[in-house]
Amino acid sequence: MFQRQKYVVQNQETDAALADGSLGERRRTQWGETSNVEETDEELIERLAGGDVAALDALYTRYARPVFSLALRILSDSADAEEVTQDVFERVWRHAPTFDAQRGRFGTWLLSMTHHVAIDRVRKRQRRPQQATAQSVEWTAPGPPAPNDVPESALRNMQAEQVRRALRSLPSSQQQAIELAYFGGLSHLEIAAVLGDPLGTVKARIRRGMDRLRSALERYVTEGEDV
Amino acid sequence: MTDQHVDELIDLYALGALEPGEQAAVDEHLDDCPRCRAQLEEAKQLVLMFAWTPDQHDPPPALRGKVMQRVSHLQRLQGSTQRSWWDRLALPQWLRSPQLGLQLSGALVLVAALLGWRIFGLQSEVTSLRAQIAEQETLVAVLYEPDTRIVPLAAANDPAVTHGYLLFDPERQQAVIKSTALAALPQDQTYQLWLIDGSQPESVGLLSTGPDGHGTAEVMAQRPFSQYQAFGISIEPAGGSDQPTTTPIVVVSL
Ligand SMILES: [Zn+2]
Repeated sequence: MFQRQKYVVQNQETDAALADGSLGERRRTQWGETSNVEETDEELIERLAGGDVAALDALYTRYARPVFSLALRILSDSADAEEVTQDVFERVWRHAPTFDAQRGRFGTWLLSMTHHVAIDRVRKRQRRPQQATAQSVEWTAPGPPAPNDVPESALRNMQAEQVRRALRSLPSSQQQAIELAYFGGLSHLEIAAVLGDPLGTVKARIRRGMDRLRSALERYVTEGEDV
Repeated sequence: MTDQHVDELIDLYALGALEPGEQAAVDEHLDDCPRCRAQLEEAKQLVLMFAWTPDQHDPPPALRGKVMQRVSHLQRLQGSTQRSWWDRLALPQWLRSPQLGLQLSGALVLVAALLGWRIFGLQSEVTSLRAQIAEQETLVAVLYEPDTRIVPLAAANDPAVTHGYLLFDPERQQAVIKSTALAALPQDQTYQLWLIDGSQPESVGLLSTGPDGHGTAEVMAQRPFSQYQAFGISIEPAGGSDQPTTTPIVVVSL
Protein backbone atom coordinates (compact mmCIF):
# COMPACT_ATOMS: atom_id res chain seq x y z
CA MET A 1 0.00 0.00 0.00
CA PHE A 2 2.84 2.30 0.90
CA GLN A 3 4.38 1.77 -2.51
CA ARG A 4 1.17 2.72 -4.23
CA GLN A 5 0.97 5.99 -2.37
CA LYS A 6 4.53 6.91 -3.18
CA TYR A 7 3.95 6.33 -6.84
CA VAL A 8 1.00 8.71 -6.85
CA VAL A 9 2.97 11.45 -5.12
CA GLN A 10 5.77 11.19 -7.63
CA ASN A 11 3.32 11.32 -10.46
CA GLN A 12 1.84 14.53 -9.16
CA GLU A 13 5.26 16.08 -8.92
CA THR A 14 5.81 15.32 -12.57
CA ASP A 15 2.54 17.03 -13.39
CA ALA A 16 3.47 19.98 -11.22
CA ALA A 17 6.78 20.33 -13.03
CA LEU A 18 4.87 20.20 -16.25
CA ALA A 19 2.48 22.87 -15.04
CA ASP A 20 5.11 25.36 -13.92
CA GLY A 21 7.01 24.91 -17.13
CA SER A 22 10.24 23.54 -15.69
CA LEU A 23 9.77 20.35 -17.62
CA GLY A 24 8.93 22.40 -20.67
CA GLU A 25 12.37 23.97 -20.57
CA ARG A 26 14.08 20.63 -20.45
CA ARG A 27 11.95 19.30 -23.23
CA ARG A 28 12.69 22.22 -25.42
CA THR A 29 16.40 21.53 -25.28
CA GLN A 30 15.78 17.85 -25.81
CA TRP A 31 13.46 18.10 -28.80
CA GLY A 32 14.68 21.36 -30.22
CA GLU A 33 12.66 24.40 -31.19
CA THR A 34 9.60 23.81 -33.28
CA SER A 35 7.07 26.19 -34.71
CA ASN A 36 4.42 25.00 -32.28
CA VAL A 37 6.37 25.23 -29.05
CA GLU A 38 5.15 28.72 -28.27
CA GLU A 39 1.48 27.94 -28.18
CA THR A 40 0.22 25.53 -25.54
CA ASP A 41 -2.55 23.03 -26.16
CA GLU A 42 -4.81 25.12 -23.96
CA GLU A 43 -4.15 28.25 -25.97
CA LEU A 44 -4.97 26.40 -29.16
CA ILE A 45 -8.22 25.13 -27.66
CA GLU A 46 -9.15 28.62 -26.64
CA ARG A 47 -8.58 29.80 -30.20
CA LEU A 48 -10.62 26.88 -31.47
CA ALA A 49 -13.45 27.72 -29.09
CA GLY A 50 -13.35 31.24 -30.50
CA GLY A 51 -14.04 29.83 -33.96
CA ASP A 52 -10.50 29.62 -35.33
CA VAL A 53 -10.51 26.26 -37.10
CA ALA A 54 -6.80 26.58 -37.92
CA ALA A 55 -6.10 25.85 -34.27
CA LEU A 56 -7.53 22.38 -34.80
CA ASP A 57 -5.03 21.84 -37.57
CA ALA A 58 -2.21 22.53 -35.11
CA LEU A 59 -3.70 20.14 -32.55
CA TYR A 60 -4.01 17.55 -35.28
CA THR A 61 -0.33 17.94 -36.05
CA ARG A 62 0.49 17.25 -32.42
CA TYR A 63 -1.87 14.42 -31.67
CA ALA A 64 -3.07 12.68 -34.82
CA ARG A 65 -0.28 10.14 -34.53
CA PRO A 66 -0.96 8.86 -30.99
CA VAL A 67 -4.74 9.04 -31.56
CA PHE A 68 -4.57 7.07 -34.79
CA SER A 69 -2.07 4.59 -33.33
CA LEU A 70 -4.25 3.85 -30.31
CA ALA A 71 -7.34 3.43 -32.47
CA LEU A 72 -5.41 1.15 -34.82
CA ARG A 73 -4.13 -0.94 -31.93
CA ILE A 74 -7.67 -1.42 -30.63
CA LEU A 75 -9.44 -1.91 -33.95
CA SER A 76 -6.69 -3.57 -36.03
CA ASP A 77 -8.17 -1.94 -39.09
CA SER A 78 -6.83 1.17 -40.74
CA ALA A 79 -10.14 2.38 -42.17
CA ASP A 80 -11.85 2.01 -38.78
CA ALA A 81 -8.95 3.77 -37.06
CA GLU A 82 -9.25 6.64 -39.54
CA GLU A 83 -12.94 7.01 -38.79
CA VAL A 84 -12.28 7.04 -35.07
CA THR A 85 -9.55 9.66 -35.52
CA GLN A 86 -11.91 11.85 -37.51
CA ASP A 87 -14.66 11.40 -34.92
CA VAL A 88 -12.28 12.24 -32.07
CA PHE A 89 -11.06 15.50 -33.65
CA GLU A 90 -14.61 16.50 -34.44
CA ARG A 91 -15.36 16.03 -30.74
CA VAL A 92 -12.41 18.23 -29.85
CA TRP A 93 -13.95 20.98 -31.92
CA ARG A 94 -17.39 20.37 -30.40
CA HIS A 95 -16.14 20.34 -26.82
CA ALA A 96 -13.61 23.15 -27.19
CA PRO A 97 -15.94 25.83 -25.77
CA THR A 98 -16.57 23.81 -22.61
CA PHE A 99 -13.18 22.17 -22.23
CA ASP A 100 -11.92 22.56 -18.70
CA ALA A 101 -8.36 23.54 -19.39
CA GLN A 102 -5.92 22.09 -16.91
CA ARG A 103 -2.43 22.52 -18.15
CA GLY A 104 -0.80 19.44 -19.56
CA ARG A 105 -3.99 17.42 -19.47
CA PHE A 106 -5.42 17.84 -22.94
CA GLY A 107 -3.49 14.92 -24.41
CA THR A 108 -4.58 12.63 -21.62
CA TRP A 109 -8.17 13.66 -22.11
CA LEU A 110 -7.88 13.21 -25.88
CA LEU A 111 -6.43 9.72 -25.65
CA SER A 112 -8.98 8.65 -23.05
CA MET A 113 -11.68 9.75 -25.42
CA THR A 114 -10.02 7.87 -28.27
CA HIS A 115 -9.90 4.75 -26.14
CA HIS A 116 -13.55 5.14 -25.25
CA VAL A 117 -14.69 5.69 -28.84
CA ALA A 118 -12.59 2.85 -30.24
CA ILE A 119 -13.61 0.33 -27.55
CA ASP A 120 -17.23 1.29 -28.11
CA ARG A 121 -16.79 0.48 -31.75
CA VAL A 122 -15.07 -2.83 -31.03
CA ARG A 123 -17.93 -3.86 -28.80
CA LYS A 124 -20.51 -2.85 -31.39
CA ARG A 125 -18.68 -4.89 -33.97
CA GLN A 126 -19.44 -7.90 -31.75
CA ARG A 127 -16.09 -9.30 -32.50
CA ARG A 128 -15.70 -12.97 -31.75
CA PRO A 129 -13.44 -13.44 -28.74
CA GLN A 130 -11.17 -15.81 -30.70
CA GLN A 131 -10.08 -12.98 -32.95
CA ALA A 132 -8.99 -11.00 -29.94
CA THR A 133 -6.57 -13.76 -29.02
CA ALA A 134 -5.23 -13.92 -32.53
CA GLN A 135 -4.36 -10.24 -32.57
CA SER A 136 -2.82 -10.13 -29.12
CA VAL A 137 0.70 -9.14 -30.08
CA GLU A 138 3.96 -8.20 -28.43
CA TRP A 139 4.41 -4.64 -27.26
CA THR A 140 6.72 -3.18 -29.81
CA ALA A 141 9.28 -0.44 -29.61
CA PRO A 142 7.99 3.04 -30.43
CA GLY A 143 8.75 4.75 -33.68
CA PRO A 144 10.77 7.97 -33.72
CA PRO A 145 9.02 10.92 -32.05
CA ALA A 146 6.58 12.83 -34.23
CA PRO A 147 8.26 15.77 -36.01
CA ASN A 148 6.34 18.49 -34.20
CA ASP A 149 6.50 17.02 -30.72
CA VAL A 150 5.51 19.49 -28.08
CA PRO A 151 5.19 19.53 -24.32
CA GLU A 152 2.52 17.05 -23.34
CA SER A 153 2.94 14.67 -26.22
CA ALA A 154 6.71 14.65 -25.66
CA LEU A 155 6.33 14.02 -21.95
CA ARG A 156 3.82 11.24 -22.52
CA ASN A 157 6.05 9.66 -25.11
CA MET A 158 8.90 9.52 -22.63
CA GLN A 159 6.68 8.07 -19.94
CA ALA A 160 5.10 5.69 -22.41
CA GLU A 161 8.50 4.30 -23.27
CA GLN A 162 8.96 3.30 -19.63
CA VAL A 163 5.47 1.81 -19.35
CA ARG A 164 6.03 -0.01 -22.62
CA ARG A 165 9.25 -1.53 -21.35
CA ALA A 166 7.66 -2.46 -18.05
CA LEU A 167 4.84 -4.18 -19.88
CA ARG A 168 7.22 -6.10 -22.08
CA SER A 169 9.10 -7.30 -19.03
CA LEU A 170 5.96 -8.92 -17.60
CA PRO A 171 5.41 -12.67 -17.88
CA SER A 172 3.53 -13.03 -21.17
CA SER A 173 0.40 -14.44 -19.53
CA GLN A 174 0.08 -11.29 -17.37
CA GLN A 175 0.81 -9.00 -20.27
CA GLN A 176 -1.73 -10.77 -22.43
CA ALA A 177 -4.50 -10.56 -19.84
CA ILE A 178 -3.92 -6.84 -19.30
CA GLU A 179 -3.85 -6.24 -23.05
CA LEU A 180 -7.08 -8.09 -23.65
CA ALA A 181 -8.74 -5.92 -21.03
CA TYR A 182 -7.41 -2.55 -22.15
CA PHE A 183 -7.04 -2.93 -25.91
CA GLY A 184 -9.63 -5.67 -26.38
CA GLY A 185 -12.34 -4.11 -24.23
CA LEU A 186 -13.00 -7.52 -22.69
CA SER A 187 -14.21 -8.16 -19.15
CA HIS A 188 -12.28 -10.58 -16.94
CA LEU A 189 -15.02 -13.11 -17.61
CA GLU A 190 -14.59 -12.77 -21.35
CA ILE A 191 -10.82 -12.95 -21.01
CA ALA A 192 -11.14 -16.19 -19.05
CA ALA A 193 -13.41 -17.54 -21.78
CA VAL A 194 -11.01 -16.54 -24.54
CA LEU A 195 -7.96 -18.00 -22.85
CA GLY A 196 -9.75 -21.04 -21.44
CA ASP A 197 -8.40 -20.27 -17.98
CA PRO A 198 -10.24 -20.19 -14.67
CA LEU A 199 -11.62 -16.83 -13.63
CA GLY A 200 -9.49 -16.69 -10.49
CA THR A 201 -6.35 -17.23 -12.53
CA VAL A 202 -7.16 -14.36 -14.87
CA LYS A 203 -7.95 -11.97 -12.03
CA ALA A 204 -4.73 -12.90 -10.23
CA ARG A 205 -2.66 -12.42 -13.41
CA ILE A 206 -4.04 -8.98 -14.01
CA ARG A 207 -3.50 -7.96 -10.44
CA ARG A 208 0.05 -9.31 -10.27
CA GLY A 209 0.86 -7.72 -13.60
CA MET A 210 -0.42 -4.34 -12.48
CA ASP A 211 1.51 -4.60 -9.21
CA ARG A 212 4.71 -5.39 -11.09
CA LEU A 213 4.15 -2.41 -13.36
CA ARG A 214 3.67 -0.20 -10.33
CA SER A 215 6.89 -1.22 -8.69
CA ALA A 216 8.88 -1.03 -11.92
CA LEU A 217 7.58 2.48 -12.61
CA GLU A 218 8.09 3.54 -9.04
CA ARG A 219 11.74 2.59 -9.27
CA TYR A 220 11.98 4.61 -12.44
CA VAL A 221 10.24 7.66 -11.01
CA THR A 222 11.99 7.73 -7.61
CA GLU A 223 15.44 6.54 -8.55
CA GLY A 224 15.64 7.44 -12.21
CA GLU A 225 16.43 3.79 -12.80
CA ASP A 226 15.52 2.54 -16.25
CA VAL A 227 12.81 -0.06 -16.21
CA MET B 1 -19.90 -5.89 -0.60
CA THR B 2 -20.33 -2.37 0.71
CA ASP B 3 -18.59 -2.86 4.06
CA GLN B 4 -15.63 -4.80 2.63
CA HIS B 5 -12.71 -3.19 0.84
CA VAL B 6 -12.49 -4.06 -2.84
CA ASP B 7 -8.72 -4.27 -3.35
CA GLU B 8 -8.89 -7.24 -5.69
CA LEU B 9 -11.30 -5.44 -8.02
CA ILE B 10 -9.63 -2.03 -8.22
CA ASP B 11 -7.26 -2.84 -11.08
CA LEU B 12 -10.01 -4.57 -13.04
CA TYR B 13 -12.21 -1.56 -12.48
CA ALA B 14 -9.53 0.83 -13.74
CA LEU B 15 -9.04 -1.36 -16.81
CA GLY B 16 -12.79 -1.39 -17.46
CA ALA B 17 -12.77 -5.16 -17.13
CA LEU B 18 -15.48 -5.67 -14.51
CA GLU B 19 -18.84 -7.16 -15.35
CA PRO B 20 -21.62 -4.55 -15.11
CA GLY B 21 -23.07 -6.05 -11.91
CA GLU B 22 -19.69 -6.06 -10.19
CA GLN B 23 -19.06 -2.51 -11.22
CA ALA B 24 -22.28 -1.34 -9.61
CA ALA B 25 -21.35 -3.11 -6.37
CA VAL B 26 -17.87 -1.55 -6.38
CA ASP B 27 -19.36 1.87 -7.08
CA GLU B 28 -21.54 1.45 -4.04
CA HIS B 29 -18.51 0.71 -1.89
CA LEU B 30 -16.48 3.55 -3.39
CA ASP B 31 -19.21 6.01 -2.47
CA ASP B 32 -18.21 5.82 1.18
CA CYS B 33 -14.64 4.52 1.17
CA PRO B 34 -11.95 7.16 0.56
CA ARG B 35 -9.24 4.51 0.88
CA CYS B 36 -10.48 2.47 -2.09
CA ARG B 37 -11.27 5.63 -4.05
CA ALA B 38 -7.66 6.75 -3.69
CA GLN B 39 -6.44 3.38 -4.87
CA LEU B 40 -8.70 3.53 -7.88
CA GLU B 41 -7.44 6.99 -8.79
CA GLU B 42 -3.90 5.73 -8.66
CA ALA B 43 -4.71 2.66 -10.76
CA LYS B 44 -6.43 4.88 -13.32
CA GLN B 45 -3.29 7.01 -13.61
CA LEU B 46 -1.35 3.93 -14.60
CA VAL B 47 -4.02 2.72 -17.04
CA LEU B 48 -4.10 6.17 -18.68
CA MET B 49 -0.48 5.66 -19.66
CA PHE B 50 -1.34 2.54 -21.65
CA ALA B 51 -2.97 4.75 -24.26
CA TRP B 52 0.44 6.08 -25.30
CA THR B 53 2.16 2.73 -25.58
CA PRO B 54 1.05 1.22 -28.91
CA ASP B 55 3.48 1.13 -31.78
CA GLN B 56 3.24 4.58 -33.39
CA HIS B 57 1.98 4.98 -36.95
CA ASP B 58 1.21 8.12 -38.92
CA PRO B 59 -2.34 8.28 -40.22
CA PRO B 60 -2.73 8.47 -44.00
CA PRO B 61 -1.88 12.04 -45.12
CA ALA B 62 -5.34 12.54 -46.67
CA LEU B 63 -7.00 12.20 -43.26
CA ARG B 64 -5.96 15.68 -42.18
CA GLY B 65 -7.86 17.21 -45.09
CA LYS B 66 -10.94 15.12 -44.33
CA VAL B 67 -10.94 16.16 -40.68
CA MET B 68 -10.46 19.84 -41.46
CA GLN B 69 -13.06 19.81 -44.21
CA ARG B 70 -15.65 18.19 -41.99
CA VAL B 71 -15.07 20.55 -39.08
CA SER B 72 -14.99 23.64 -41.30
CA HIS B 73 -18.30 22.51 -42.75
CA LEU B 74 -19.82 22.08 -39.29
CA GLN B 75 -18.45 25.42 -38.23
CA ARG B 76 -20.10 27.12 -41.21
CA LEU B 77 -23.42 25.45 -40.42
CA GLN B 78 -23.19 26.64 -36.85
CA GLY B 79 -22.25 30.11 -37.95
CA SER B 80 -25.21 30.36 -40.31
CA THR B 81 -27.63 29.08 -37.67
CA GLN B 82 -26.44 31.70 -35.26
CA ARG B 83 -26.47 34.47 -37.81
CA SER B 84 -29.97 33.84 -39.04
CA TRP B 85 -31.14 33.57 -35.50
CA TRP B 86 -29.48 36.85 -34.49
CA ASP B 87 -31.00 38.51 -37.48
CA ARG B 88 -34.48 37.26 -36.76
CA LEU B 89 -34.24 38.55 -33.23
CA ALA B 90 -33.20 41.98 -34.52
CA LEU B 91 -30.83 42.51 -31.62
CA PRO B 92 -29.51 45.98 -30.99
CA GLN B 93 -26.29 46.52 -32.90
CA TRP B 94 -24.18 47.07 -29.80
CA LEU B 95 -25.01 43.62 -28.55
CA ARG B 96 -23.08 42.18 -31.45
CA SER B 97 -20.05 44.38 -31.05
CA PRO B 98 -16.72 42.60 -30.96
CA GLN B 99 -15.72 44.13 -27.61
CA LEU B 100 -18.63 42.45 -25.99
CA GLY B 101 -17.59 39.16 -27.49
CA LEU B 102 -14.20 39.61 -25.92
CA GLN B 103 -15.63 40.28 -22.51
CA LEU B 104 -18.08 37.46 -22.48
CA SER B 105 -17.84 33.95 -23.76
CA GLY B 106 -19.98 33.02 -26.70
CA ALA B 107 -22.32 31.09 -24.47
CA LEU B 108 -22.79 34.01 -22.17
CA VAL B 109 -23.67 36.27 -25.06
CA LEU B 110 -26.13 33.78 -26.48
CA VAL B 111 -27.73 33.06 -23.15
CA ALA B 112 -27.78 36.67 -22.15
CA ALA B 113 -29.62 37.40 -25.36
CA LEU B 114 -32.04 34.56 -24.76
CA LEU B 115 -32.67 35.55 -21.20
CA GLY B 116 -34.03 38.86 -22.24
CA TRP B 117 -31.45 40.66 -24.42
CA ARG B 118 -31.25 43.44 -21.96
CA ILE B 119 -28.36 45.46 -20.67
CA PHE B 120 -25.55 43.59 -19.03
CA GLY B 121 -22.69 46.04 -18.95
CA LEU B 122 -22.96 46.08 -15.19
CA GLN B 123 -20.91 43.56 -13.33
CA SER B 124 -23.79 42.65 -11.05
CA GLU B 125 -25.90 41.75 -14.01
CA VAL B 126 -23.21 39.56 -15.44
CA THR B 127 -22.92 37.78 -12.12
CA SER B 128 -26.61 37.16 -11.99
CA LEU B 129 -26.55 35.97 -15.58
CA ARG B 130 -23.84 33.48 -14.69
CA ALA B 131 -26.10 32.12 -11.98
CA GLN B 132 -28.93 31.79 -14.44
CA ILE B 133 -26.65 30.07 -16.89
CA ALA B 134 -25.81 27.46 -14.30
CA GLU B 135 -29.52 26.76 -14.02
CA GLN B 136 -29.87 26.58 -17.73
CA GLU B 137 -27.29 24.05 -18.72
CA THR B 138 -29.74 22.38 -21.00
CA LEU B 139 -30.29 25.59 -22.84
CA VAL B 140 -26.57 26.09 -23.26
CA ALA B 141 -26.14 22.51 -24.41
CA VAL B 142 -28.84 22.96 -27.03
CA LEU B 143 -27.24 26.19 -28.18
CA TYR B 144 -23.92 24.51 -28.72
CA GLU B 145 -25.32 21.79 -30.92
CA PRO B 146 -24.45 22.75 -34.48
CA ASP B 147 -27.71 21.29 -35.74
CA THR B 148 -29.95 23.27 -33.45
CA ARG B 149 -32.82 25.06 -35.21
CA ILE B 150 -34.66 28.03 -33.86
CA VAL B 151 -38.33 28.43 -34.69
CA PRO B 152 -40.13 31.67 -33.81
CA LEU B 153 -43.44 31.02 -32.05
CA ALA B 154 -45.83 33.16 -34.06
CA ALA B 155 -49.21 33.84 -32.52
CA ALA B 156 -51.95 31.78 -34.15
CA ASN B 157 -54.26 34.78 -34.43
CA ASP B 158 -51.60 37.25 -35.55
CA PRO B 159 -48.49 35.98 -37.33
CA ALA B 160 -46.78 39.32 -36.78
CA VAL B 161 -46.67 38.68 -33.02
CA THR B 162 -43.88 36.43 -31.75
CA HIS B 163 -44.39 34.83 -28.36
CA GLY B 164 -40.92 33.31 -28.13
CA TYR B 165 -38.68 30.68 -29.64
CA LEU B 166 -38.36 26.93 -29.79
CA LEU B 167 -34.80 25.59 -29.97
CA PHE B 168 -34.47 22.01 -31.10
CA ASP B 169 -32.23 19.55 -32.86
CA PRO B 170 -34.28 17.46 -35.31
CA GLU B 171 -32.37 14.32 -34.36
CA ARG B 172 -33.01 14.68 -30.62
CA GLN B 173 -35.94 14.33 -28.27
CA GLN B 174 -35.01 17.16 -25.99
CA ALA B 175 -35.56 20.82 -26.74
CA VAL B 176 -35.95 24.16 -25.04
CA ILE B 177 -38.74 26.67 -25.28
CA LYS B 178 -38.09 30.28 -24.41
CA SER B 179 -41.03 32.64 -24.22
CA THR B 180 -40.46 36.36 -24.50
CA ALA B 181 -44.03 37.63 -24.54
CA LEU B 182 -46.61 35.30 -23.07
CA ALA B 183 -48.79 36.94 -20.44
CA ALA B 184 -48.62 35.38 -16.98
CA LEU B 185 -51.70 33.24 -16.41
CA PRO B 186 -53.93 33.07 -13.33
CA GLN B 187 -53.10 30.37 -10.75
CA ASP B 188 -55.61 27.88 -12.12
CA GLN B 189 -54.27 27.92 -15.67
CA THR B 190 -51.08 26.90 -17.41
CA TYR B 191 -49.52 26.95 -20.85
CA GLN B 192 -49.25 23.41 -22.17
CA LEU B 193 -46.87 22.37 -24.94
CA TRP B 194 -47.75 19.90 -27.68
CA LEU B 195 -46.00 18.09 -30.48
CA ILE B 196 -48.26 17.08 -33.31
CA ASP B 197 -47.83 14.08 -35.52
CA GLY B 198 -50.88 13.66 -37.74
CA SER B 199 -53.93 14.59 -35.71
CA GLN B 200 -52.76 13.25 -32.34
CA PRO B 201 -51.12 15.90 -30.15
CA GLU B 202 -48.58 14.63 -27.64
CA SER B 203 -48.14 16.59 -24.41
CA VAL B 204 -44.48 17.55 -24.00
CA GLY B 205 -44.57 19.75 -20.94
CA LEU B 206 -45.93 22.85 -19.24
CA LEU B 207 -44.68 26.40 -19.29
CA SER B 208 -45.20 29.15 -16.78
CA THR B 209 -44.16 32.74 -17.40
CA GLY B 210 -43.27 35.69 -15.21
CA PRO B 211 -44.92 39.10 -15.17
CA ASP B 212 -42.58 40.20 -17.99
CA GLY B 213 -43.86 37.41 -20.23
CA HIS B 214 -40.61 35.47 -20.01
CA GLY B 215 -40.34 31.79 -19.26
CA THR B 216 -38.12 28.82 -20.10
CA ALA B 217 -38.99 25.14 -20.12
CA GLU B 218 -37.42 21.93 -21.23
CA VAL B 219 -39.39 19.97 -23.79
CA MET B 220 -39.16 16.18 -23.71
CA ALA B 221 -40.56 14.33 -26.69
CA GLN B 222 -41.05 10.59 -27.07
CA ARG B 223 -39.37 10.56 -30.47
CA PRO B 224 -36.84 12.76 -32.28
CA PHE B 225 -38.26 16.09 -33.40
CA SER B 226 -37.85 15.28 -37.07
CA GLN B 227 -40.73 12.85 -36.65
CA TYR B 228 -43.27 15.53 -35.77
CA GLN B 229 -45.01 17.97 -38.07
CA ALA B 230 -45.87 20.79 -35.73
CA PHE B 231 -45.50 22.33 -32.29
CA GLY B 232 -48.31 24.05 -30.45
CA ILE B 233 -49.21 25.82 -27.22
CA SER B 234 -52.63 25.90 -25.59
CA ILE B 235 -53.99 27.30 -22.33
CA GLU B 236 -55.14 24.48 -20.07
CA PRO B 237 -56.33 24.03 -16.48
CA ALA B 238 -53.45 23.96 -13.97
CA GLY B 239 -51.62 20.63 -14.12
CA GLY B 240 -52.34 20.21 -17.82
CA SER B 241 -54.76 18.10 -19.89
CA ASP B 242 -54.46 14.79 -21.72
CA GLN B 243 -55.50 16.44 -24.96
CA PRO B 244 -55.85 20.14 -25.78
CA THR B 245 -59.17 21.53 -24.53
CA THR B 246 -58.81 25.01 -26.02
CA THR B 247 -57.84 26.46 -29.36
CA PRO B 248 -54.05 26.70 -29.53
CA ILE B 249 -52.55 30.14 -29.23
CA VAL B 250 -49.50 28.98 -31.19
CA VAL B 251 -49.14 26.40 -33.93
CA VAL B 252 -45.93 26.33 -35.92
CA SER B 253 -44.81 23.73 -38.39
CA LEU B 254 -41.40 22.21 -37.74
ZN1 LIG C 1 -12.64 0.32 0.72
